[in-house]
Amino acid sequence: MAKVLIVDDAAFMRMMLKNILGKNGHQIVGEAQNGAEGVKKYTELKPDVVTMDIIMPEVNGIEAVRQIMAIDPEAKIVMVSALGQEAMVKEALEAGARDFIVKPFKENKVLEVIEKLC
Amino acid sequence: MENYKDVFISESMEHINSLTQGLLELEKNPGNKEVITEIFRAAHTLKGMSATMGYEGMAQITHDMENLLDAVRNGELEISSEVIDVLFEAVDILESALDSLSESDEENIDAQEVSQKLSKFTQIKRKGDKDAAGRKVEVSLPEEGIKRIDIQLDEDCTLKSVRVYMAFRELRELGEIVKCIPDEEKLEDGNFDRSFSIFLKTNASEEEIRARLKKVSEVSRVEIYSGEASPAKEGKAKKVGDIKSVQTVRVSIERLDSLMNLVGELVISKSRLFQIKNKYAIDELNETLAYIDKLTTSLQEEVQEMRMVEVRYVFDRFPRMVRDLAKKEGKLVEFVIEGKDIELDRTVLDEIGDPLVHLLRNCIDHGIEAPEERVRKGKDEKGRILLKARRVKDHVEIIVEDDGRGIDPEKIKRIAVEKGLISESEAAKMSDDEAKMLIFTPGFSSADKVTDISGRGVGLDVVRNKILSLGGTVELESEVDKGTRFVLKLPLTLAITKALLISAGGKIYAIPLNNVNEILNVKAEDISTVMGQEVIQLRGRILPVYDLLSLLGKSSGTNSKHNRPVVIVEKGGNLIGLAVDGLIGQQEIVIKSLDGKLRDVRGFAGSTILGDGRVSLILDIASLGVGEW
Repeated sequence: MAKVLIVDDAAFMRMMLKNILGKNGHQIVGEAQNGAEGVKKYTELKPDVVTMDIIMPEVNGIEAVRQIMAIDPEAKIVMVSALGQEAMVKEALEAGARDFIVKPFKENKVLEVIEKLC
Repeated sequence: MENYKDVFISESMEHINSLTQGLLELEKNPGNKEVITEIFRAAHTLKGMSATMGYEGMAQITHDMENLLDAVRNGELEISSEVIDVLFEAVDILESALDSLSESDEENIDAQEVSQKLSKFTQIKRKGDKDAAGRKVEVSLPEEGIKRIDIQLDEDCTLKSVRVYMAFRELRELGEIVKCIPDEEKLEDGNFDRSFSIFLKTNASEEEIRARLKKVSEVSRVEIYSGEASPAKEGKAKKVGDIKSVQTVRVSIERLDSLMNLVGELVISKSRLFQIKNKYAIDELNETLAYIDKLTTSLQEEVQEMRMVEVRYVFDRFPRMVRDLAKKEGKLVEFVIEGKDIELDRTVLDEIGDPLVHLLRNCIDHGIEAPEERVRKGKDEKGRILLKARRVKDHVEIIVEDDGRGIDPEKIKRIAVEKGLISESEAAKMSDDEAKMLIFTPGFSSADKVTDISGRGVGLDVVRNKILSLGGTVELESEVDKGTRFVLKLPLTLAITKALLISAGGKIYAIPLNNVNEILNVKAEDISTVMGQEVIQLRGRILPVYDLLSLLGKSSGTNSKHNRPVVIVEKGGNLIGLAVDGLIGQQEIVIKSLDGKLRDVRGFAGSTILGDGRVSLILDIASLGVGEW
């Protein structure tokens, strides 16, 4: 079981992830709507895993990864990507993200990635 | 690995050629993105190949080239003439490594110096490329082995390229990726099915590799092969290459030579059969022999075709040479090559490289004027040199042409007189065309001063003799201040040629037909003696006549008071007559080269076997020892 922080500006996406993770025994410790909020919640909640959307208003996902890595180099961040965002995913991985999942979510893939990190 | 060396060398040569071509293009056109990508790819492939073979020096140089080109590609470094020069230097060293490898197992190069020069550019322009530095160290560890890692992704994996990227990133922690299938570009674009292979140069164990790849999600299968060829690896590797290898097969030149020899034997046997048929008048053989005749002719044509090589293999090295020479001489030159796809027999092609180098050097050194001089003459400051090949009937013409200062007949005459090659009175009588031909005289060099480039004692006479000995001719056209044009006419093949058979001293000799100008029947009273030399008059010109047997060092048994056939041949730009005993006829002959001790015998180009089984020597007019007259 992992404590997960979900960072996504779309409520729908947060709900999807929450459902998938929740019914498989993971605990959603918090949600954030943009990168800045995500960084703040990370320091407060100390989750095991963060799911991080890439395109978000104000502070985007990649910048948020950089800020979180600066605070905690051991942070386990999974990028949430849409199709066609290869370059940005690579950039996030360069910045320290551990893995990524692709929208639309497939339950088994999301679980594979999250559980691999725990 | 040793078995792969030949393939490695020939394939590397191709990449080096495309590097050279690309660099020349890049120098003209520094913004050409396609060319940059192309040479980057060539350097990259070379790096992978040489690292796989364990050639550390080449691997290191190509690695640094790759870094530099990558910086150029990303717009971090601008192409300057220094960058081009260093890249050329690197290409030169790679080439010399290949030369050395083709004869030994050592690269025999100093990679350090050029490698430092290359990385100097990237160090200045690029900050903190840890990755590159790290990889370089690994390249120089010789004891590392190459492992092939086959990775299969989940069927429903969507961002395949990112998974590849992650796998690469993990594996780079363990060693250097020397090669991948499909190539990196396809992998980066996600342009592949589900599986890809990575060749990793590493000391890491299989477990370590598996542990690393475990971190990458959506990987459904990993297989690792290492060291000696495992059956699975061989099978798979073959599959990849199969598509191409069906269409072409590499055959060594020796094989083709021996095939040509066998066909030659067949042609000889055929003419013997004809002779027997005629002798015994066996009509039943007519049809079969006609068919055999047709078959051998087709076979001969096929084999000849197989030996044909595109002139590009020789031409492609010239742009670089012309560039370097022009730069050194401070001349501006546009070098144009046409007809690269024209084919010539391998043997002919091998022989014309040096003469062409000489002619091109002449163009730059003597032909093309300095930019200021050209402007003064109202010409474009950039000179133009054309190298062109074209097929004309049964031979190939190679044209070397410049738009430089041309050959001034008066100047040529003056120099020839100064050098004592001709007398004042001869000079006065000479036509302009005759005067121009003087540049082919041994000992003639019109350069006022001897430069590094031409005028090193190897004159145009050597060029001309080479072409003549190949059974070709050299023509010259030139106009003052307009330019000069050399036309080399070359036979398509050397192995089989038409010859005039003559008899002298009871032996039969063959004279290649392209040396023969005409045949005369000379009466004894038409021969006069001038300054101890027998001469005849031919349409107002005086030609020396030599007894062929005496020229060959035998005493002439023929009474010279009789009428004799005289074969007029061209030798060193002059016509001479060869007095023989009898004329036999014209025939297609198969040239067999003289081996071993006989190779250096002057006057003979080879031998051939006649239809009746007798051996006949082929005269080499160019090297026949005629005294000065």
